[in-house]
Amino acid sequence: MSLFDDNLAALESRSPDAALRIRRFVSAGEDGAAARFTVVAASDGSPVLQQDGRCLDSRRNPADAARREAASAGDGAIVVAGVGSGYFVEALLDAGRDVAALVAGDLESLAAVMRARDLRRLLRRVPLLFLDTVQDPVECICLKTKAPVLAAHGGSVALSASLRDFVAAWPRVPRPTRPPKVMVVGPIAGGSLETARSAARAARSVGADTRFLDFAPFGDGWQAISRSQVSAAAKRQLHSRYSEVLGEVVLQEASAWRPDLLLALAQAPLGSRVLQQLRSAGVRTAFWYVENFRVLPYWKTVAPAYDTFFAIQREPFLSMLREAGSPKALFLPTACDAGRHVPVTLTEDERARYGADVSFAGAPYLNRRRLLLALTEFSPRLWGEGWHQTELAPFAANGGRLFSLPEMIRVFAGTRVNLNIHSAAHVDGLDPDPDYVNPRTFELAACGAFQLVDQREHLRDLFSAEEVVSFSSLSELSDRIRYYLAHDEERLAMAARSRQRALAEHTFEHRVREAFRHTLPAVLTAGALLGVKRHTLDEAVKEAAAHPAMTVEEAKLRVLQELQGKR
Amino acid sequence: MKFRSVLVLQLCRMGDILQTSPMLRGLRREHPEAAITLAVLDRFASTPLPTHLYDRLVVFPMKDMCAGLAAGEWQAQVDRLDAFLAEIGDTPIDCAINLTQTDLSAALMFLVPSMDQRGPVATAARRRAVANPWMRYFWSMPRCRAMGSFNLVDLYTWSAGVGCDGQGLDIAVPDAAEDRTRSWLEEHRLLGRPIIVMQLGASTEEKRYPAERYARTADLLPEECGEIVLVGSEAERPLGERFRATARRAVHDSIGALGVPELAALLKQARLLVTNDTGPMHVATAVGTRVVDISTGSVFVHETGPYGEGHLVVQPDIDCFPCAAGATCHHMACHDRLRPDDVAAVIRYALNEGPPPRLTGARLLAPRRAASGCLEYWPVAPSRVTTVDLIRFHWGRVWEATLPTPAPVASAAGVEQGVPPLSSVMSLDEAEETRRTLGMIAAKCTTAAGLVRRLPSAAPRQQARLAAEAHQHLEELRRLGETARFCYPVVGFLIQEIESSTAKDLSSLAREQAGAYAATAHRARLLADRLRATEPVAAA
Repeated sequence: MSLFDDNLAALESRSPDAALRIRRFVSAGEDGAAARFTVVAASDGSPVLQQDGRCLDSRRNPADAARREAASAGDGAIVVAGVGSGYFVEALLDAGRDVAALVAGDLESLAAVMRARDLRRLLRRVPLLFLDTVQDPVECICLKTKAPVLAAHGGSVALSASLRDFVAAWPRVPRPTRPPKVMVVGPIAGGSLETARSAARAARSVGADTRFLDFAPFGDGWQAISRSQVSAAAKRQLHSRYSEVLGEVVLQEASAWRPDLLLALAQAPLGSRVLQQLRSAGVRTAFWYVENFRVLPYWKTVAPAYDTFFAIQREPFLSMLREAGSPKALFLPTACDAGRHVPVTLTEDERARYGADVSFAGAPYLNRRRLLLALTEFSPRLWGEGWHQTELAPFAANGGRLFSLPEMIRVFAGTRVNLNIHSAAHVDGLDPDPDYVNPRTFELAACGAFQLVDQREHLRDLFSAEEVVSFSSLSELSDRIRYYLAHDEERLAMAARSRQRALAEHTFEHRVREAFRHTLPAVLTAGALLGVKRHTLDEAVKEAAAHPAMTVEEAKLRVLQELQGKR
Repeated sequence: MKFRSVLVLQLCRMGDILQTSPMLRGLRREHPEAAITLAVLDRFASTPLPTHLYDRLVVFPMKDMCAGLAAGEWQAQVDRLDAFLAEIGDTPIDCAINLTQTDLSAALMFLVPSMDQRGPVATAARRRAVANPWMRYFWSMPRCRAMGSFNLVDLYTWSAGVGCDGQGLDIAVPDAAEDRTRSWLEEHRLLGRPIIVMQLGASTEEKRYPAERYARTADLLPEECGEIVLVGSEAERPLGERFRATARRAVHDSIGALGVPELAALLKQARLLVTNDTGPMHVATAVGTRVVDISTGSVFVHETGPYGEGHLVVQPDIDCFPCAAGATCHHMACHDRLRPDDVAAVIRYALNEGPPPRLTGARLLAPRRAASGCLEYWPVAPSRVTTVDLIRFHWGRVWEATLPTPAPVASAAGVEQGVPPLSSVMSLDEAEETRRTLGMIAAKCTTAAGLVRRLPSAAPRQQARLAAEAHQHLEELRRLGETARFCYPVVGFLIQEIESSTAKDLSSLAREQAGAYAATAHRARLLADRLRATEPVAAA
């Protein structure tokens, strides 16, 4: 193995993302003939990196010069800006300093020095990041919070304007003092209720100070109106007024608590008027529309009123949202709840109740009924409300009643092949507009269940073909059911991979973090990601007072402390 | 140096804001080019200070911030504080003067960029330093209030480096307020009639002469003295009710009916204001209406009394008066000392309708101008001059001689007032004891100054010994000051000077401290000399 390969292996062990980028860069031959960096020998024979005739480190004794430079680095955990020829970071490590991260200005210089020197000791110990990563405000704040001292490698910074800017901006990088306050508003009922609950749990789990406005208790009132003897028009009006009252509840709660972000889920009882008032009150609002825009068109009226609109469909929906007046429309797919969508081991009784070769869990939409009618040879077990009233009544499980979450995950666990068929009420085949991925895809994956899902446009951005198997026709579905029923090992491996991917990339925590990045100031997002606790004022003062001399921030806190308890 | 920008941080009440007006006037006079920013509390932002005295009024949102903090929303209050600081601006101010005796204001001063800071300032070492000699004096006096020689108005003025102009406080009375007051007077058939205004309220109970006694005082006044009009804020209505329940004569109650500008307009029409030490007292002095100030509890007339000549102050003749700063009084015996018939006699004297009264259990004081232009309060015969009056008087002259006292505007300068000899109020033994203590203070200070002067050039081990010895001297000085009746001011000031040091190295620290000890020795000797000079030659 070459020196470069040894270094790359060391880099891979500590900083896999950086190693991947270097590997790609070198493979693409981008560090080839027109290389800006060359290596020259210093007076003591040490290799030194040179750019356009200017050495990045001392040409006499680079290690000695680095030791002197390292001695002046401030106290505490250090972030080093610029790799140079590596001597500076090595000197810091030799001096026993805690080097929390090494920021490389560019791929080219790093590749060059990895060819010229043995950097394994350094690369195995210090996480390496590229400048573009830490230029992200949230990443930069997180980095500075972990390691407040920046030591700039003089030679690298002198030759890189981007590194210079990074070093100059460092003192102004703020430090998060609190987590964001996030209010999650759920619907009265419906499929997005569970999504709202999961989103609220995730917001709390990623560190936000979270309040969930649960409108489920108001569902009885809504139902009572639905059951009343008044005309349909009168019911609509009553439902609308009922929603307005609930919207007022949101307004009052938000005005009192003053969240940094109000995240509403589809069907949340928030009209344009309330949203306008929230905006006037300075509350940032975001809407996660976990619905198919073609089925529920009310998004048009609320889109302009939310500051950010998250959709589970990409184009053309995002453009349509912008045309409808949404200030910021973004793609945010649904997800799994890692704490609730879990694999379970069934007891014998449970296996008898939930076990099946093929199952489907969901509502009996037309397209599903048509498709499943052609699969009766597999005796599918159909879970969900209403199957007993369809032509597939003999296959209806649980008497055609609604199933609960504990039941659902047991169905997934007890079924060898779970069918996941996206709904389409208006067609008798597969969804003709397969531009979203339903929550069931993520839920099944997180439960470690094997699924066959109808082909979706963006499915492969979320799961690979080795993780989730799709089908695009009835015959393909039948073939694959047969195949996977016959290949247990392959099926189980596939399910395990899908679970791994779901937990790694598709939990509600991932989605909420993404939503925070797009809606909250970087310092608050970092406050959540770093798990900054919501301090009391006295705790904040105590923390600030740990600094040897009073800072401006501490003085401000002391002003507040003096006011505390006064009227 | 002429300032181009000045910030005055006055986060106190209405009366204090009005008492700032002579200082602002002086700054305008001495620094005509300076842009003056006045920072006040939101609750008192409507104090009718004439707008020509400042260029910008910045309001500290204390009420909202306190409410936010009570709701647990401290982070949002940082934003409010930032907005306040942004309004002050980030361009360094030539001179920032903090007139507020709180740690809050000291922390705010830390956040305000300025070239020259005066008053309490929080330091990077998390201490409170008090910058400017007159401000240090102000901060050192609460421990020995009875020895306080100067009115706040003069201290404010001198701390800004400007001289007294002898003109009193300023207030703006808008025409509309005059009209509203005229309507109120018409409605009560008082227009053109002689009026005596009584203000029954004060911030704390011990400062409030009881409403029933006010009522009995009013009953003792002949009808021809004037109609009695009660003034006060909405919250003071119960006091008015107590007054009316006791008084036999008819009164006109305007409590809660008039705002501050209307009150000012009413006071302009009045013959006299009879009041506790509170905001309206300063309003009356600002509009030129004579005041009878009933001083009780913690009120210390020499510090906050009605500013200007012609006013009268009646105060209890009782050892515990004034209450020590921060003390809570449970007996309020001082209220009993002020008999309504005595207060009524003072009012008649103030109205030129009676002789100087001989008070029982109380004393009558009146302001007069000292040579420095400052206002001092002196007993009006036949009220007796006490030892404390005399020592306070001499202390005043010592401070003027040893702190940088700006020269008064020519017309404001008074003349050195004659005072009775010490022996007329103090036993020879006590006088001798005081002089002896002052001599000891001077000697200890001289020794301590010598010790700290040697600090920078001493070897490290010797430095520690010298510092310990100097500290020992300071502790002994503190003990001397606390045990000797009249000597604490000079020690208190020394301690304030040492605690306020912002020296960056040992040499400058030693220089500062040696200077402070030497100045203290000088002051102690000066006072001793003055006390000796007032002694009659002992009879052979």
